[in-house]
Amino acid sequence: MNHPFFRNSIFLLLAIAAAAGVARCAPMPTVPLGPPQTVQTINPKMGVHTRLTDEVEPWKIKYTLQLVREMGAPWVVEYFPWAYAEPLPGIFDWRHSDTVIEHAHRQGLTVIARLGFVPPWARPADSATSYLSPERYGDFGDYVYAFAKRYRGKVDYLIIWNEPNLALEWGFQPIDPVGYTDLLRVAYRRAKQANPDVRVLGGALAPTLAPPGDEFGMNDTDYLQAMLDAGAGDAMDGLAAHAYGWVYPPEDPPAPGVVNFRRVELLHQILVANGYGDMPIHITEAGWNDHPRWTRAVKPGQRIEYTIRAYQLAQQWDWLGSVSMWAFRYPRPAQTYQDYFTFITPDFTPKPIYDAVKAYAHGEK
Amino acid sequence: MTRTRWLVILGAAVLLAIAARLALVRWQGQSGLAEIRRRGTLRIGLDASFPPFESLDADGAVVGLDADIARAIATDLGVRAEFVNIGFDGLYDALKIGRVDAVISGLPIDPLRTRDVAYSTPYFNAGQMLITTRPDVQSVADVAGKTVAVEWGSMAELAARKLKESVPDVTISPQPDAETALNADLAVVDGVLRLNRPQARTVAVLDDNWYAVAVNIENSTLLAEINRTLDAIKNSQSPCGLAVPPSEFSHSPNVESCYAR
Repeated sequence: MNHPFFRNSIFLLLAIAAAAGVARCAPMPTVPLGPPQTVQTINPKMGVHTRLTDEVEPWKIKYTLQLVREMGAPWVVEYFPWAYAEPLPGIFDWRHSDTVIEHAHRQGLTVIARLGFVPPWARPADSATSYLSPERYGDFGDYVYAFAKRYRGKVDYLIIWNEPNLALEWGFQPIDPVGYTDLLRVAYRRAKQANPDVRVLGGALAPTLAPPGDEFGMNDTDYLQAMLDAGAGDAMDGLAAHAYGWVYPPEDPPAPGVVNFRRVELLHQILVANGYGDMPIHITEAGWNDHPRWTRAVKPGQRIEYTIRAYQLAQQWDWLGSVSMWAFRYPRPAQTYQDYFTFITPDFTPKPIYDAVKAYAHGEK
Repeated sequence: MTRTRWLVILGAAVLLAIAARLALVRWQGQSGLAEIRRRGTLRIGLDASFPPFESLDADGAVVGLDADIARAIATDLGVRAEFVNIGFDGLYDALKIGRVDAVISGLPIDPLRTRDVAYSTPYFNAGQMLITTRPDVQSVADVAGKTVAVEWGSMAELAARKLKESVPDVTISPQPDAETALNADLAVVDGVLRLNRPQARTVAVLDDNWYAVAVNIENSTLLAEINRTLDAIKNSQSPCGLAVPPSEFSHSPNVESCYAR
C-alpha cells in the first residue's frame, strides 16, 4: 500500500469525495448585506478583535459587525483558519469567510485577517494545529495566495501566523525566529503575487518576559530583533503586536521588565534602530479584563477608563496604524475570565464598556 | 444459511453489543469510585484564589466553603480529601485527563460541557441579586422611585439595566467600586459579594449563576455520592462548618454568616 500508485489513488479519491462534499454542502443561509455604511468616529485608529471564527449564524455575524461600526471602531481583526478554508489540498470552502468579509466590507470596516491553523493534511498526525514543518511552508503560501486573491479590494491587511514567539503557537517546537522569518518570506511573496496592494504584517508578537532559553516563549523584543537579523524587515509591510495592559494603566511607562500597554513602544524602538522606523505597527490584540477573581484583572470602571485612554494614546502615536481590543463578543460564554474581556454579551447585550467607548468615539465624552 | 437465520444472528449480535456497552458504562461508573476508595484519597481540583470559597491560609492549607464541602464528601466516602491547586482555566482539562476526581472551585455550570462533564446538584447561586436594608422594599416593584447602587461597568450594572426595563422609574447609581455599591441601602451585587453584607436582605435574584461540583461524565457513582453529601449538608441543622443548615444552600443567613469575609 505504500506504492505511489495506491497513495495517489487514495488521495485522488479523497479529493474527489471532498470536492463532491463541499459542492453538495448547502450554502450558508444569507442575510441581506444592506446598504454600504461608513464608520463615524473621532478616532480612526480604534479597532476590536471580533471572534466570528466560530460564529455560525449569518445574522449574528452581520449584527456583530454592525455593532462594531455603531460603536465607532473602523478596524476589525478576525481569524481565518487555514484548516477551515482548505480542508483538503486545493479544495476550498470560502462560505464562512465570504460571509464575514462581505458584511464587514458593507459595514465600512477595515479587516485585518489573521491567517494560521494548519489543516490535518499538512501536518503529522497528533501534532498541534500550530505545527507547520518547513516543507509545508509552500502549502501555507498557497492558502495565503488564494485568500489574498479572493478578497482583493476587501481585505488589505494580512497577519501571518499568531504569536510565533510562544511554543504553544509554534507547534510546540523550539521557538525559531529565523524559521518564522522563512515562513513570513514565503507568505509575503505569495500574498503580493495575488494582490500587490495587500499589506503583510509579521507577528503578531505576544508580550512576554520569558528568560533566554525558556521552552515556552521568547521575549518579544529579542524575537523581533532576531526576526530583523534574519531579514524579516524586507518580508513585511508592518508589524502586528499584542499589547495587554494587565493591571497597569495605559500610561504606565514601558520598560524591558514590564508587560504593559506601552511595551509596544519598545518594539517600535527596535524597528527604528534597525532602519525600519517608518514601518507601522498594528496592535491586533490589547485590552484589560474585569473578572472579579482573576489576578490580572482590574475593576470594571478601571477597564472602561483604561480602554478609552489607550485608544486616545494610540491616536497620538504616528507610527501606529490601529489598535484592536480583545475581544468584541464571544459566540457563547466561555465561563472563565475570558468572558470579562468582551464588549457585548453572547446575546448581544451591550456592556457598559460598549456604551462608554461608543460615547467616546462619537465625541460625547 | 437462510435469510431468517442471518437475521436472528444479526439481532443477537446487536443485543449482545448493547448489553456489552451497558455493562461497560456501568463498570466505568463504578470503577472511578472504587479507585478512589482503593487509593484512599479524593483528589479535588480547585483554584485556591477565590475566598471565601477556596484560598490558602497562613499555613498553606486550603480553606473555605468549597474546601469544607470537599472534606465532607471525602469523609462520607471514607477517604481523605487531597487538594490539587490548579489555575481556573485548567480545571476541566485536569478532570478530563484524570488528574483529579472532582472539581469544586466556585465552578459555574456550563451547559455546553455536559458531553464530558456531569454536574452535581447546584449548591450556590453567584448570580446578580437585588439586596436591601430598607424595610419598604419587599419586592422588585418596590424599587420604583428609588436609587439602586451598582459597581460601575460591572455585570451588576448590566443586571440593573435589565431591571429598569421592567421598573422604569428606578435610578441606577454607578459606584466606583463594588464595596461602595454593597454598602448602599439598595443595590445590585453578585451572590459572592453579597456574602459580605449578611445584614442585607435578598429581595430578588435577577439572574442565576449556579456553582456545582463537576465530575467526569462516566463517574456516575461518584456523582451520586457527592449529591448525597450535598443533600445532607443542605438538610443539616448545625450552623457552620461541615454541616450547614440551609434548605437553600445559598441565600441562607446561616451559611452566609459562616463564610462572610
